[in-house]
Amino acid sequence: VIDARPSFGALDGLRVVDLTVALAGAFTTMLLADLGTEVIKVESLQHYPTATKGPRHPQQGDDAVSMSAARDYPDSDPGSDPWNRLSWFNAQARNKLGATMDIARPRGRDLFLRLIEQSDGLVENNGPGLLEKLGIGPDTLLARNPGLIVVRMPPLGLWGPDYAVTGFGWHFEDLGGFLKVQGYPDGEEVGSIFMDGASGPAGANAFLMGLLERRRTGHGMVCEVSQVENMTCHIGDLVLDAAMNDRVPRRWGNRSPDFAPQGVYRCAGDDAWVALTIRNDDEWRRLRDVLGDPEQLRSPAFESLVGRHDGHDQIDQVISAWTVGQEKMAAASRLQEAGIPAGPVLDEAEAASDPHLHERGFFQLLEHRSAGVHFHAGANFHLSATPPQIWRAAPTLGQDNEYVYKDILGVSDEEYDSLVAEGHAGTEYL
Amino acid sequence: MTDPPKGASQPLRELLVVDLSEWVAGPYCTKLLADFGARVVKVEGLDGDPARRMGPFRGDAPDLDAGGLFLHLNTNKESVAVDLWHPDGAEVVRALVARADVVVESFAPGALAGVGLGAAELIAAKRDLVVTSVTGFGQTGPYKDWLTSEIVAFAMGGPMNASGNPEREPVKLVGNVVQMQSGATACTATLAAVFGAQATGVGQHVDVAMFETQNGSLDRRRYYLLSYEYSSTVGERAAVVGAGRPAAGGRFLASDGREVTTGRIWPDHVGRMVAVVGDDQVQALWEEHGLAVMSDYPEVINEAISRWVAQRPAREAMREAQAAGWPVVVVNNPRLLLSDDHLVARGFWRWAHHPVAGDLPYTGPPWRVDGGGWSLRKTAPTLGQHTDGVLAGLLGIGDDGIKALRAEGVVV
Repeated sequence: VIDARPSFGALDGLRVVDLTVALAGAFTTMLLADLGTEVIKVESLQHYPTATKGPRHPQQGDDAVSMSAARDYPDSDPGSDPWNRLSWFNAQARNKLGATMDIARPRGRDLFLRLIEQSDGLVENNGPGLLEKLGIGPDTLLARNPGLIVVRMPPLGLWGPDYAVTGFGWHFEDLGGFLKVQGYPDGEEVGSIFMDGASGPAGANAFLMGLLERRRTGHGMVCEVSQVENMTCHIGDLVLDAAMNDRVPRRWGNRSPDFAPQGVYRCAGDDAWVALTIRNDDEWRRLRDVLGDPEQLRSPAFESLVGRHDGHDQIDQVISAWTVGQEKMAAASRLQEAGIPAGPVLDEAEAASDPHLHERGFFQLLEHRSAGVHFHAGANFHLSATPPQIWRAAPTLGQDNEYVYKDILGVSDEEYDSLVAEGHAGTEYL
Repeated sequence: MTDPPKGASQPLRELLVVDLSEWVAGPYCTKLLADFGARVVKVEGLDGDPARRMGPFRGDAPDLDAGGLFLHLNTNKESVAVDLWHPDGAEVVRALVARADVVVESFAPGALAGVGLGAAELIAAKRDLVVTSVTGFGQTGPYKDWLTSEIVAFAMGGPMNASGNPEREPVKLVGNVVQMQSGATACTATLAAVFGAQATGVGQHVDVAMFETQNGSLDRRRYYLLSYEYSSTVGERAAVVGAGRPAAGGRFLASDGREVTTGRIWPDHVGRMVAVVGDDQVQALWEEHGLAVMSDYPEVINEAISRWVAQRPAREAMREAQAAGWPVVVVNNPRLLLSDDHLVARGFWRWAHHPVAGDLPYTGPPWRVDGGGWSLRKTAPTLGQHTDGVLAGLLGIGDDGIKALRAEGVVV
C-alpha cells in the first residue's frame, strides 16, 4: 500500500498530522519529517490550496510558458494533474505522507479525530479560529488525545488586540519592521520573504520543547508560534539600537556597521559577484596582500575600521578592479586561502552542481509519481547517530489514503469504498 | 482567544549546556535553549566572544560588555572566561562537559580535537552527550575550512542572486538574520538529538552548516532549487512592484503620522478595497472595468486609498480594512515596534537591567509552550562574570585552585 517508509531518525516512532497551509507550517513539518517523524499531510478534495499547488486550471501547452509559475512545473508542463507537479509543494512535502478527508463534514471530522487519537502532534498555520470553526479546536483535540502537542502558528499569535489580522508575507515583513531597514543604502527598498524561513525552525522547536515537557508530565498542550514575534527576534539587535540611541537604524545594504569593507563585487561573466567581509585589521592586511598591496590601499587611515568605513567607496573600487577580471569562484577561493570570509553569489544552477553540497549528500535523487526523477534538497542538518533519510518524493494527492485509512484507522475495504464515493478519499480535487 | 494563556514551567529546565560557540549562529541556538530554561555556561576565550566587538553601542562607543548584538544573543547565560587552548583550560572545559547534556561549538572543523575536546572524544567519555557544531560549511566537504559571514552565508546559500533590483547588485537581508535563522535550525536538530538521547541513552554529533540551512530554507531557495531541476530556470532579481511605473497599492500615510501598507492588492481583495474606501469614482470604475482598474487606473485608486487612510489613525485604518477582509497592516520600523499596540499588549517587550548597558527592551518569547515556558531571568553576562561561581559551584574547585588557574592566565 505504501512505499515502505523506513524507520530512521531521532524522532522515529512519532506521528504528526499536518494541517498546514502555504509554506511556514509546511517547513516546520518538513524539518520534523527529516528527523524521522511520520508526517501525514491531511488535505481535502473540496479545498484547493492555491498557495502551495498553484493555479487550479493553469494554461496548457504553448500558453503555459507565459505563466509566472511555468518554471515551477517539470519541463514547464502543468500536465493533467498540475496540483501534483508544482515545486512549491513538492520541495517541502518530500518525506511526508498525503491523505485526503473532508473535515468540514461530520464523517470526515470523526475520522480526523480518530487519526488524532493515534498521533503525537498537530501542526497548523491557518488563520486564528479556523480549527474552532471546523469543530476541531484544541479543547476537542486534547479531550480526544490528552497527550497531543498542538502547534499553532498564526502570524500575530492566538490572542491580543490584533491577533486576527491577516495578510501575506510582504504585509508582515513591513509590520515586523524589516522593510524600512532593508535594501540599498540610498533608500531603494528590497522586499524579502524571510518570515516563512524563520517560522519553519520556530514551529519545530516549539513542538520539540513540547515533546520534552510531555515526557516529564505525560500531558499534551498547545504551543503558540506568533510568526511576527519570532521573526522580530531575528532583529533584536536592531531594536536595541533603536532603544539605546533613539534612532531608526539606517539601511546598510551590503555594508555592515561592524566590518569594513563588506560587499559584493562584480566578477567576470554575466551577473557574477563575489561577497566578502573584512572583520578585523588582520583580515584587512591579508586582503591587501591578495590584491597585490595596491598603492591606493596603503593609507594608514585604512588600518582602522573607522578609516575603512570613511574610505569604503574608494576601497570598493580597488577591490572591484581586482575581482572584475576573475571568475567568481576563483576569486572566492583565493580570498579564502588567505583567510578571508568570501564566497560567490550562487544561483540555483550553481548550487545544484556545487561539489561541496554533493559531497555532503545534500541533494537526493527521488522519483515522484507525476513529476518524474529529480534531485531534491535534502536535510538542513546532519546527525551522526540518527541520520536523516530522504526516502520518498512528495505524495501525489491522496497517495497514502489506503495506508492512513486502512492501516492506521482500521477502516474496512467496504467502508473505504464508501469514503471514496462520498468524496473523502480520492486523488483529484472535486 | 483574546486573553493571555496561563504560564507554564520551563521545558528545558533540566538541561545543562556548555556553549563554546562564538559570533551569531551558535549563540542564537544557545540563547533559545537558555531562554526556555536550560542552564547555559558560555565558555569564552580570554578576549571574549568576538561578537562583543559588534554593535550597536550606545552613542556608537564600543564597550565589550554592552554591545546590542551580544546583549540580544546571550540572555540568560553565564560567562566563564577560559583559555581552552591551554591544557589546564581544556581540562576545565572537559570537567564542565562531563556534567553537561549538550555542547554547542562553532570552531573550524578539527580545532577542538586538537586540544582533546573533539566531538568524538567528548561523546566517548559521556555516551549520551549531544555535541552540536554550527559552522559556515560543516565538518566535511571541500569548503569545510572556509570562513563565513552574514553576507557570505546569504550569497552562497541564497537566494541573494534573486534579491534586489535587476539593474543593480544583489543585496543582502537586514542585519544578522541569516545567521540567527541558522542558529534556530541548529536548535531544532539539537533538541531532536536530546530527545533521542533521553530515550536511548545514545548521544551524537550534530553538524549544522549555514550553507545547507540556507540552500534548504523555505520560502524560497528550497523550492527554487526544485524549480531549477524541473525547468532549468533560475530565479531572477525582480524590481519592487510598481518601481518606475504607477501601480495600485503600497504604503499610505495616516492621520497620526504613521503609515499602513496594502502591499500588492490581491485580485480577491479588490472588491473589498473598493467597498472600504467608499469612493464614488473608484466604485464606478470597478463596476465598469472589474479587475482591470488595478492596471488601468492606479492613480485614481491610490488617491482614493490615500484620502481614506489620511482620515484615521494607522491602527484604525488597519482594523477597519481587516474587518472588511482587506489585508492592510500598520508599518513598523525597529523603533516603532517598541510601541506597537499588539506587541505591547502581549507583553512581548521585556525591559531588563544590565549593569553596564542599563535598562533596555529585549525581544520576548519567539513561541510559547503550553502558554509560556520562556523567561528573561538575567541579562547577558559581562566577560568572565561567572568564572568563579561556575568553577566553585559546578566543578567544586576551591579558592586556591581558582587562584592558581588565574595566576597561570588560564581563566579570567
